[in-house]
Amino acid sequence: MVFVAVGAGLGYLWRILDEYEYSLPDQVLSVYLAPAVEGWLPLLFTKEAATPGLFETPADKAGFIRELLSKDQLVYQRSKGKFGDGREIYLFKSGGETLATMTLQKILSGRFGHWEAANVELHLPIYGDLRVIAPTDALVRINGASPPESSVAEEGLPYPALSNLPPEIGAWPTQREYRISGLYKKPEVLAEGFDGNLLEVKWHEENGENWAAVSPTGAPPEEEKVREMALADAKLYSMYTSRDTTFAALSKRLLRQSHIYASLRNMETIFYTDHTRVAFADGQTSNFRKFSPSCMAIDVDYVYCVYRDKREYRFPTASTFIYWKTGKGWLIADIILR
Amino acid sequence: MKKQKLEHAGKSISERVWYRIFICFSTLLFVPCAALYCGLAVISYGPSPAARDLFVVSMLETSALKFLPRIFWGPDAIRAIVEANAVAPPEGVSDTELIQVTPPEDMEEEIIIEDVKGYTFRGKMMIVADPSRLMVGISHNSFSKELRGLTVSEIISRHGGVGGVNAGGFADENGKGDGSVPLGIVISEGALKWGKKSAVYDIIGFDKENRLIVGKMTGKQALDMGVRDAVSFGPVLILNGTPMEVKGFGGGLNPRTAIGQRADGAVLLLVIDGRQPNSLGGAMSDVIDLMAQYGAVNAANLDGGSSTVMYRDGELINVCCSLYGPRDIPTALVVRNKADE
Repeated sequence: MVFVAVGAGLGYLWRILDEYEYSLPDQVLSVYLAPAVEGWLPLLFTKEAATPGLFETPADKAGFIRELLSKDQLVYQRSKGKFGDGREIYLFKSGGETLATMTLQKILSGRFGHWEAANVELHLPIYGDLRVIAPTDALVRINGASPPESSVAEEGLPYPALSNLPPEIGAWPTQREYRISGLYKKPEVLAEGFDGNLLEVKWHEENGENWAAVSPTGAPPEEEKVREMALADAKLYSMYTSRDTTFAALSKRLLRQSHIYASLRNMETIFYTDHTRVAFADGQTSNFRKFSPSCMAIDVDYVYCVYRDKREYRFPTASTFIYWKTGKGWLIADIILR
Repeated sequence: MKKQKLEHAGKSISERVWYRIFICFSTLLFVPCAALYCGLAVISYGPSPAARDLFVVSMLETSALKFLPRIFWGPDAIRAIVEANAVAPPEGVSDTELIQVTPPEDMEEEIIIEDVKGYTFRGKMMIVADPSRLMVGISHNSFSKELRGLTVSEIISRHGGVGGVNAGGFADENGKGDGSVPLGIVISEGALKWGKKSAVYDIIGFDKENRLIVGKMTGKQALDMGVRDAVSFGPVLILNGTPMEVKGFGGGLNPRTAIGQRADGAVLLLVIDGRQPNSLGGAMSDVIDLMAQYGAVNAANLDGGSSTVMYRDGELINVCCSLYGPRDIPTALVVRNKADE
């Protein structure tokens, strides 16, 4: 009988220990440890993505989570939580980075009670928000999807290079800004110009801000014709500044309504009036941009040489020529000295 | 023949009586021991690894029962359990710039005592507004194996204090130490009373600006920093506002004594009762939680177990777990009288 009593006592102790083990927070927390990644998905979709996003699917987000959790072992540790009010806070960490904060609530049941997850805050190192600035008429796709109108944050943004153009000429090309928030990974941003060509996307990711600038770029065949025209215009403009040609000759290349027309007409061009000859050297073009069917720009860099008293005076020049298409062809709408 | 029969019968009766006495005695002795052993085996190999860990670290923290875990596990297994339930060591020492001691004229009530409670314990928190009143009281002007330690009450009286708690550790093999010789370093009223200037210690003390200093340093470094009173123990629980990372339970359930300091300079003295039916004891994570709750910027664990006592105005205000009453110890943290008293 004594041995039976001892045996019964040991059995009762076993049961108490079993209940104690079940009452520990680890019973709840261990569900969310890798490789049990699936434990995270209900949390994720409950808190972050109840419905699939436009740019990222639930599978994309799950893949991000899996990739994140596969880098280092996922561990949890008790945080300095409030004491004595039945709550405890745990941090889930991977590679030293906190991925989630979980609040557990003690439920009084049985001998020791048990814990339940009361609240979860995810601190996933997601990519975050993105601003995309693109030509208004460009077809933008983010991860293959077109951003909805609701994501347009600003309209009619002018191009800095075109800010000096007269508005009465026509509808100048503008840009629009899209704002997308809550992206898990850096997306693929593609943009198609009005002419169906793929536009260049430049990324800027600094100080926690991400934005992509879509630049209008040119089609190579047209760029060659524009290149020759721009070099000839640059030479003509330079010769005007040294009075080696008349305003009448230059004005044929200028858009009459433009500010550059009025500025050049009234410009003092008396320097180096006494010189024997001039030369236009090292002419190069770059950064061709087609903003719209009737507006384009090209950078022209060259050295203008003026010879006087057997001496050569070199004037390296970096300029941008803005062109507007009229019935008479492409005319210079602005010249920017960079 | 009849006589022989009677003699044989007499011998059988007496033998049977002695036999039964022997069986009863053996049963009374053997069964409880066997039951205890089996109970410990159930804890060790049963359904709760957490209970096992708690048992191991709790026993290892005692002086007299350290041998119990070794009955069931080897040194490697015990080491693994200890490492899985430890407090991470601090990096660096306390930053004194974080403490701005409140001027005496702006101090609130001098000494406040509050009850604290947790899932497995109860205890007391003493808040001393003026940190300059704290000092390390010692049992004798010089320590020696021939000089037995004093109780905390006696040390407090020796220094004219109004309250205090036990402080640093001491040699206590099998729980039979007499508190004669401290462990680590002892600095009291600016003088090195025990330890070497060249050795590295876990310092818990106060500098001349009455700021709590915790961390590892040599005796010389401590004195050069201006530490006026210090003992050795640990671990550091909160350093420069950051609680130390705790693995598992961070220690077993035992009586605890701890010290902390708030940003306004007020000193926190904590005792947690343990080894009693209504207060099993606290783990390090419990001490960290309490110290953080009371706003400690820096905090460290002091000696605990049967040494844990707190006095106020000559009265023991917690429940000492030792059946023999408060122990003889070499050092105590004494709360002195106010300067103008």
